[in-house]
Amino acid sequence: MAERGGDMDAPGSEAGRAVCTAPAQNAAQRPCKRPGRSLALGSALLACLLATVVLACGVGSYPSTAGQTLLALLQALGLRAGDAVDPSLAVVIVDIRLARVLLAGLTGASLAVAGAAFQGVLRNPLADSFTLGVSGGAAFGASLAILSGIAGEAALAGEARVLPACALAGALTALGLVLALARAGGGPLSGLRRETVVLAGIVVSTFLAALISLLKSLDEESVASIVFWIMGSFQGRGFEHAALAWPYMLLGAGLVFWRARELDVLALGETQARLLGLDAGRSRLWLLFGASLLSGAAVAISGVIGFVGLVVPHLIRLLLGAGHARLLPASALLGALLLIWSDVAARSVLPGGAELPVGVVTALIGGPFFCLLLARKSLGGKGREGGA
Amino acid sequence: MIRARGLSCGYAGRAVLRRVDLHLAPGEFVALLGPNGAGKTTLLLALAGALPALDGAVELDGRDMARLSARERARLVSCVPQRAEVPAGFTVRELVRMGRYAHTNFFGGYGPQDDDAAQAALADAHCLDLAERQAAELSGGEQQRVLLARALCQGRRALLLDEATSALDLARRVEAFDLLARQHQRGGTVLAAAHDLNLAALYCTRLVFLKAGRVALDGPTTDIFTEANLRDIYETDIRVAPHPVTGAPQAHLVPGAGAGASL
Amino acid sequence: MVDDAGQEISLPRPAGRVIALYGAFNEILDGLGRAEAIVARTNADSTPPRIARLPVIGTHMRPNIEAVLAQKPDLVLQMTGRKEASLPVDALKKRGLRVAVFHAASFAELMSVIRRVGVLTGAPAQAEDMVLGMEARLAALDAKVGATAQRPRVFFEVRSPNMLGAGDKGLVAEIIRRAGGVNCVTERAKFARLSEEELLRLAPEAYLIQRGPMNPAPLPLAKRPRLRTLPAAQNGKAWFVDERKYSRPGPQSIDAAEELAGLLHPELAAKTQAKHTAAPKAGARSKDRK
Repeated sequence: MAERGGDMDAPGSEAGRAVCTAPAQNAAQRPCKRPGRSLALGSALLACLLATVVLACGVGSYPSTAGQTLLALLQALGLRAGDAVDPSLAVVIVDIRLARVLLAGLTGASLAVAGAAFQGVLRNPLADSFTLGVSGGAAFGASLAILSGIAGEAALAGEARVLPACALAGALTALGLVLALARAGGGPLSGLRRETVVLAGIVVSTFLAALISLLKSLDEESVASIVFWIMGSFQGRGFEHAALAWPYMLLGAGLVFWRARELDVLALGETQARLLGLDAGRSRLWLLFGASLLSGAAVAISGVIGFVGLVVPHLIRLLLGAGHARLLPASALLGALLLIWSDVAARSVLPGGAELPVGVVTALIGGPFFCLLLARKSLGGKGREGGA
Repeated sequence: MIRARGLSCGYAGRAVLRRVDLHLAPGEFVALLGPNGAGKTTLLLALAGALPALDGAVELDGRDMARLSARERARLVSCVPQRAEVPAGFTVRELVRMGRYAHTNFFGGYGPQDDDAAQAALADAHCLDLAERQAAELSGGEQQRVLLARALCQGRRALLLDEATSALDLARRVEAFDLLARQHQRGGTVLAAAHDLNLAALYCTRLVFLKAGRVALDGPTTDIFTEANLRDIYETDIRVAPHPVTGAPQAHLVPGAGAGASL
Repeated sequence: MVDDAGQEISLPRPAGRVIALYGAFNEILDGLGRAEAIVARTNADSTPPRIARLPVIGTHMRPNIEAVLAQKPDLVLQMTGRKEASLPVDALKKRGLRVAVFHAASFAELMSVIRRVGVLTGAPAQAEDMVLGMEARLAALDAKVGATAQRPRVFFEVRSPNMLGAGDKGLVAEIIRRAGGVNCVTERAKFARLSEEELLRLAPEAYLIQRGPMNPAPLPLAKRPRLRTLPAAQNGKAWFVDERKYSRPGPQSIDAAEELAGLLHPELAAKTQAKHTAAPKAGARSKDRK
């Protein structure tokens, strides 16, 4: 009994083999197309990201030259280069700009990976931490913590472990609610029906939005800060916030990346996944848990930022296909890039040093862009066949 | 190789299969036949482990399937489902390689041996020309060939097929059954649910007829492929004559004898 | 009698049932000896202490119209500022209430408001006294710090961490000026949104953090690592101040100016310590912790 087709003993298989080898050699070069393309895109994104880190540190209302920016960054790395930079400028470039680049990068990557995972698990292109109510849950958990004073003054300094914990608890509670609602609406074998889950997500996020409104109306004086915070912003955040969130992000990303192959198999649906040997229920729970950790941690440091998790995986899917082994890392890179530049725009577009919430910038970029993707998809769905 | 003992199975607590006993010895090529709604798909899904048993048990290689992990089970049995959703964004090669999921370990990804297995399966199922195409953009028949390739990639010891050739043209259908016959000759166990009685009689050494969730007939093709049996099962007039080349029994319908309306 | 919305307010007799939708009016009325005319309060107001037990009619921006009507006030007072504050005014006027709207972005305007509130509530003489007292204290303050050549650049934090600073238009800006400082924010607005980076560029030499409903739990400057290079942080010239005292136009605004003068110019404080011993120390109740 042969495991593979290599040792054929049936008559006539020699001929079959001979026929097969010609296209096989042809095909041996062809699979390189995808890996080659993803490698090229991956390295391009990585190079962009490295350049972005330096460039984004040079933009802002505090006057700085390119040379000073580079010097400050090099000196922050512990290199002895040139004359010491003015301490205020060093603070601006390293503690403010570089920290925000790092935060925006981490958050953007987390949101994009979480979005890709949610879309994969639920097999719904509109699934996202935003549409599933997970972001809303995290926002509610964190604003409850801030308003009730559990987090208090330490939260603002990024010292309180309790704030991300509350945001994560909120995110997971929201996810639990959504799953419970979706379960109630589906049969035992249907697992998670994609429509049901997204509908449940909309119900839960609407409910949470109402709860947040309730919190706002209870405390009129802090409306402005809640609104600003929910909009999503990196203003006033620094390395200490990154330090708070990265363990959760790392854990979440680990869970999702490790299960990239399972995401591929889950895309085939419940029955096929089981036939291929995947315990779909357990795999989905772990993936959802990981994605919720990612989005909860992102919300804990930046508030709710929409569209990154929706637009980025879609774009990468168009370029590289749906295989998650490529989709996830490429989404992480593009998500980081997108959010870093959105944040640069948010902090430098308005005159007089005022800032826009970065969530507004991503919505302004993401909304029209998403419409474009949708239009392209419906028009050119079959057009891609010609290129293959 | 595969044994069902008193297997009852169904959906939402409603049993479709009732106390089915079936044993497939290693290397058998068996066709699963029967009218619509007889429970063929349910039996295949249950034997492949995609559907839990309500009562009774399935054994693979003498081990209770309920105690095997999903991966262990998938390494023993591969299955081509009847209706398989093919998601957008995957190439045929990627889709076929997913058959190797149960062979990868938790930490590693797909390795060179998985790529080799996919390549061999693509070649055997005559899908190499499709390998770099988008799987979702293929025709129904092409997708069936790809799913067959994926099942080969997953493992060749035991293949369960549910109407796996229904969308193929005649030449492709013969090609597919030739392929299954080759697997059978090399020791693989094959159970193919089909509507095409004649194809089954042409290739399979043993036939199993299901009716209303029970095994109605089970035996060597030559013994049970008789006019009386077929009339009984399908409730219509059927004549049997030998195949002009192989001599295998072949069924022929008689016009105007339909009695299905009374079912 | 014309209010700052340009409407003629004429009462048959001095108002005896007053509801202030802005807390500072309660303090003005208290200062005028007319606190007994207050019949209800907004949720956030509790000074003077005697109003704490009065019925609550909602909030500054969203008063409950029914609750206000139930108190049968003959005068409702509102301060302009945020746009939202004018919405309930129209709703109340439609229901036949007299609503006087005032605006106080400077000491001169504040005094005018006090005079008019005095007239409306039957205490014009007391209002005149209060205004004269304020004018005298302002004059004394001018005499003390007016000549000083050293005018530190001051930043007034309205809210953090999504930073809001006092702009160059409004009573806080005048308090800073009168106290011998220069507002480092030059935007001609009551508030200015600005980033930490912009704040570093402005490099204030003194940093005031108001604490109150707008800024419930601000961090001391020493606990904000990204602002550590500010001159204010390096010189230790950072203080918490009371939002009610600084940001609410009222009789206590003059206390704020005196307190701030003491903080910015300790070298001058000795001269007048005999006069106002209590003010600076009580005000700067929590000097920035190190």
